[in-house]
This record gives sequence, structure tokens and C-alpha cells, in this order.
Amino acid sequence: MIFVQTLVYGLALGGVIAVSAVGLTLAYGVTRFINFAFGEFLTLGAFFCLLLAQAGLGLAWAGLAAAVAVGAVGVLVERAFYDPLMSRGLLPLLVTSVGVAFVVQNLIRIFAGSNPVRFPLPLMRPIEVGGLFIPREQLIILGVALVTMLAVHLLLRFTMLGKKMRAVADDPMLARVAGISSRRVLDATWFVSAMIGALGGILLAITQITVAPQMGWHFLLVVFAAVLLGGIGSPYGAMIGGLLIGLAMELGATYVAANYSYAFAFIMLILVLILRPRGLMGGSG
Amino acid sequence: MIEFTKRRACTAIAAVGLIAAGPVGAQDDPLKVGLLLPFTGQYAWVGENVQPVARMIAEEVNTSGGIGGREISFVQGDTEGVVDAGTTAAQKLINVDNVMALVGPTSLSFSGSKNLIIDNGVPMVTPTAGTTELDRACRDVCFRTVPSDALGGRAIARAATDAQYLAEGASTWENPVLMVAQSPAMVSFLEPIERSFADYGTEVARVIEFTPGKPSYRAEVQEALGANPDGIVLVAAPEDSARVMTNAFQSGYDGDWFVTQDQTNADYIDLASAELVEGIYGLEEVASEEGQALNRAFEERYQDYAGEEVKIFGTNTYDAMNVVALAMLSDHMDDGEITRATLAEHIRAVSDPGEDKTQVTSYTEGKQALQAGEKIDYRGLVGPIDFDDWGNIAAPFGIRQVQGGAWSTVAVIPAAALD
Repeated sequence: MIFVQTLVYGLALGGVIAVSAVGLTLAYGVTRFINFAFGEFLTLGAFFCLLLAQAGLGLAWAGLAAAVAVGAVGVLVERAFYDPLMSRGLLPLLVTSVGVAFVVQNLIRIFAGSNPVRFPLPLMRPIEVGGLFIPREQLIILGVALVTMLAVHLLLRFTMLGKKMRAVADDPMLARVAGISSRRVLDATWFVSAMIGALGGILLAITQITVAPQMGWHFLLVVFAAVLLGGIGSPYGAMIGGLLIGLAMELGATYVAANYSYAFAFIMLILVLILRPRGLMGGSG
Repeated sequence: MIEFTKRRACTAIAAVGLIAAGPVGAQDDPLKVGLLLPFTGQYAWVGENVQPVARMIAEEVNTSGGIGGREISFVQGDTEGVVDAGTTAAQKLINVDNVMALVGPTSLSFSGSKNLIIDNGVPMVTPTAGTTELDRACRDVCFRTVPSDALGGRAIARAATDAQYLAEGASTWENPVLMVAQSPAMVSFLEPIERSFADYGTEVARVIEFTPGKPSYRAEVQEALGANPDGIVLVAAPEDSARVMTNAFQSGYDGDWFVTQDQTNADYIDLASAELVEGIYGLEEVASEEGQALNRAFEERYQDYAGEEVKIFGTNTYDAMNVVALAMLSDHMDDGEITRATLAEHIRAVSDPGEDKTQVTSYTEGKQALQAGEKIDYRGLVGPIDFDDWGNIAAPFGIRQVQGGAWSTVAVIPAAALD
């Protein structure tokens, strides 16, 4: 019974990680640099959602509006900070993204304060099935995560934008020769990446009950682990990686030691990378 | 030649002016107080809660003419809530900024700044550090306006095992579980609570230490509930506490809870939700009847000043800053000078009880009494503020319970009952 209970918890946590990881890896696939400010998209998503909910919008609408707003922020960040440095190599971009992360964190702190704030999800008793407790919040998380991942799948496979994104990710020069505007694809990619990051942040806020300026930054480590596990740049790999990392964290915490749940995420990552150095779906994204 | 003479004359006048201005400038130098607290990081809220209260008292001092004409000013030392940054911040405040006294640090970074404080003889009055590490840390310069976690832990165990300190009709705990976050500020409670339960005849069924800052605590909660507790003592930061309690609620737990001072406030009810925390017990320092009236007056004053309710450590900060300011004034009135070496003595002089002393409850009252030639005994919001040899205060504890969405005091445990 405890095992099944732990699987339920692990899948929900995995869903949060998977959604966030898909957002991060989408941007990587096109730009080829790891955006360390991605955690701040999560944080902004949670705070925008909180703000809109407090303004009277229903939580679902607030979440959607927040995701779109953060998508726009993602495009702005890319144009203001990353685009001018694209030709300077990866290191300046990486360092800049760390700087952007700190700037955004502190801006949030200025406007929202440092004290944690409750995310406005009503308290709900769990569904009890034969001694098994299934928190309703986790069902919401799993549902949103599945819908998001399905939407990403449809976007990449069946839309022109998705095809262009994959084309630019494979070979930007060739894509340009084929008449694809890299600029528009880049904007669209950053919009989608930040928007999905915001959804991940909202799911994270539901999981951890409270929101705080550093929540995304702290969570970024496990998101990275999921991205690497799945194969960096592969959205499908990130989905699988996220779910596996979530399960590893909860199972390890329950059956070995609760204090080392993050360690189990990385133990799994190391084991997979030893066997498959490019991750589970590396090169097949 | 004439031009040269004029220039020399101007230079000489300027030099004389500067020399003359020198001592006046020194006299007008502000009295620097270091705020050795986290202002960034996970515990930035501690600095944010303390700073406005400290500024309010400093403004009270400065608008009444300062201390010997010198105003109190603050220098921030951001400990980031970690030992390394705390040591660096203490080093800067003490040796670069030359602060006269420190307000802080927290339990989180005390170990890193302890030796710097003692070696340099800088008086510190911390409104936030309940850590047992400070119980016997130093005799001369360490003071705190928050009771030791050793006393707090004992009060929790006493209340949970003695029905007279619980809500009417409530049963004592037979099978408690202790959940403690692994941070210096929280682990400090672990041993006192566990030992005190044993002293009062009830063994703690399970002790669970957990990593702070995790997004959820489902595994830890499962482990706790595996012991079938009738009550859980939870020692963690408010954010983590809200997560643990929510995860327990989602796992079907409906037993009792006991939380520490960090959560026994209206902010925590907002954070965790009134429905979740209804019926939980909390610990707080309490004052006498007279002190309770003072608390209400302080709450109104702070609301007017900052436009917000008093937050965690607000009352402790009020007492810490009043003690520091009155000690500075007392030190100045003694011989016209204020030094680190003499300030600590004056902290005791303005706070120790005595039959020949006038009891005061604010800087302004204390100033009037001192100027009238009286000795003073500062009585604070969190208790009488009578420091023992090691700078600790003993305060009675209030046992509170969330009833109808607000904290209500259900019992008071006198300090003597915790011996």
C-alpha cells in the first residue's frame, strides 16, 4: 500500500518536473544554450497567477493568463539580454542568464516581499480508495501536466511552427535557406518555453502550497537533472526524465532516507548517463 | 606677492575651519548599530521583519535629539541566513563599519559570528536567536530578547503532557512524534523537547529530521504517521511547516499539532490557511497583564508607522532596540562617551531589576527617568527583560490555540513551572 501511495506522490512530483523540463529543453533545442534564468519563469508564473487570482480571476483563467504573460516576458528577456550575445559564444550567454536570474528574483522580492505567500488553492481532503490517499491537488497536477505534454507533442508534430522549430534546431543555416525566419522561430520558441515554464511554476506552487521569490531557482536543479536524463534538447526525453526523477525522489525518500530525495534524482541521472551518455532520448529528439 | 598671501590666508582659514570642525564632526558622527540579519535568501523575511521596528525606535531616539546630539544609524550586515555569509557580514560590521552594537544575529549564523563578537567585545542584543548554542556562549556581551529554545522546548513538552495547559477538555498526548527541520535554528529545539517529554513521563515515539526547503514532505509525513501519533510537534520555518501540515492533512491525519513561536502569529494562519490550522497549539512568550496592554499599544503604533501588522520577531526587536538605545543614553550620561566596552555594562544597568529603580517600558520613558537622575529597569513586551549571567531572559510562555481562525491563549506556563 505504501508503495502504491509513493507511486502516486512520485508521479505528481514527476509531472511538475516534466512540464518544467520540457520548457527548458525546448529553448535549448533551438538556441543551444542552457538558460539559467529558466527557474525565474517558473517563479514569475506562480506570482502572476497569484496576483491575478487575488484580483478576482478564477484560478484556471489566472493560470492561463499568467502563462501567456510569462511567455511574453520570455521573448523580452531573449531580445534584451540573449539575442545581442548570441554570436559571442556560450559562456557569456550562460553567465548573463545567471545574472538575469538574480535580477528577476530581486525584482520579485521588491514587489512581492520576501515572506512566503500561500498559493490560493483551497484546502481539499484527499480521495480515499481502499486505504490509499489520493490528494486532489495531485490529480490536478497530473491532469495539467498530461495536457501540457500532449499539447507540446501536437505542437511539435502537427503544426508548421513545430516543424520550423525542429528545422531550426537541426540546422539554422539550412532552415534559413529554406525560407524559415529564424527570428520568428526564436521568438516563438522563447514564448512557448517561458509559457510552459510558467505552467510548471504554477504546478510547483500547487505542490508546495506557498510561493516565494527563490522557488524556481531552487527547483531548477531537479529540472536540469530531468533534462539531462532524458537527453538534452529532447522534449520527449524531458517528459520521461521528469517522471522518472519524480518517482526516484519519492521512492528513495520513502524507502531509503527522506533527507536525500534530491540525491536519488542525481543517482538515477548518473546511472543512466553511465549507460547512455547522451541520455535516454539524446539525439532522437 | 599679495595674491600669494591671500591664497595662503585662505588656505590657513580653511585649515583652521577644518580643524575646528573636526571635533564637532566627530561628536555628530552617528551611533552605528549593525543589523546582523538575513536580508536575502530564504530567510530574508527575518531582516524585513526586524528592520522597520528597529528604525521606528531609532526615529524615536533621533527625533528627541539623539543621544548626546548623535543620531542612531543602521548598517546592514546581510548574513543570507548561512554561517559563511554571516561571518563575513559580522567581520565587516565589527571591523570596517565599527558599529557600536549589533542587533542580531539569528540562530542560523550565530556560530560563525560568535568569536568575532566575543573577541572584539561588541555588545549584541539579538531579538531572533533562540538557539541553545547561545545559552552559555558568553557572559559579557551577548544578550537576547527571545527566550532560549531550551525553555521553549520544555514549555511545549510540559503543555502537551499536562492537561491544565491545554484547551478545556483536551487530552494529554500519549504518543507524540517530533518533526524537526535540519537547520541550526530548528535543531536547537530537538534535544530540549525530546528530553523534556521524557522528564514529564512520555517518550517521543519517533523523531524525524527533515531537509528544509523541499517542495513537499510526503515521505516524511508517511514516516511520522507510521507511528500513529496522537500529536505532532513541528519545528520548522513557517513555509516548511505549512507544507508539512498540508501534506499530513492530505494523508488523512487529523491529530493534534504543536508549533513554535515562528508560527504562533496571524501571518502563519494566512500562510497555512485557517481551515488547516484550526485547533493547533502554538507557543509564544507572554508578558504580564501590564505587558499585554503594552503589546496592544505597540501593535497600534507599528501599524501607524509601517502600515502593516507586527510580524514575527517584531516585539522582540522592540525590546532589543529599546535596550540598546537606553544603554547608549545611560552610557553617554555616565561620562559623555559611548564605547563598546562600557555599553554592555549599561545594557545591564538599564535592564536589571532593582527596588530602587524606576520601571520604564519605552525609550522616551527611560530617557525622562534617566534625565531626572533615576535608575531604570526596562520592562519589555516579551517579559521583564531581566538578563541572567549569560544574557538570557526567562519568560513565561503562553500556550495558544487557533480557535475560529485566530490565536487564543488557553494557558500560561510560569517560568518557575519549567525548572
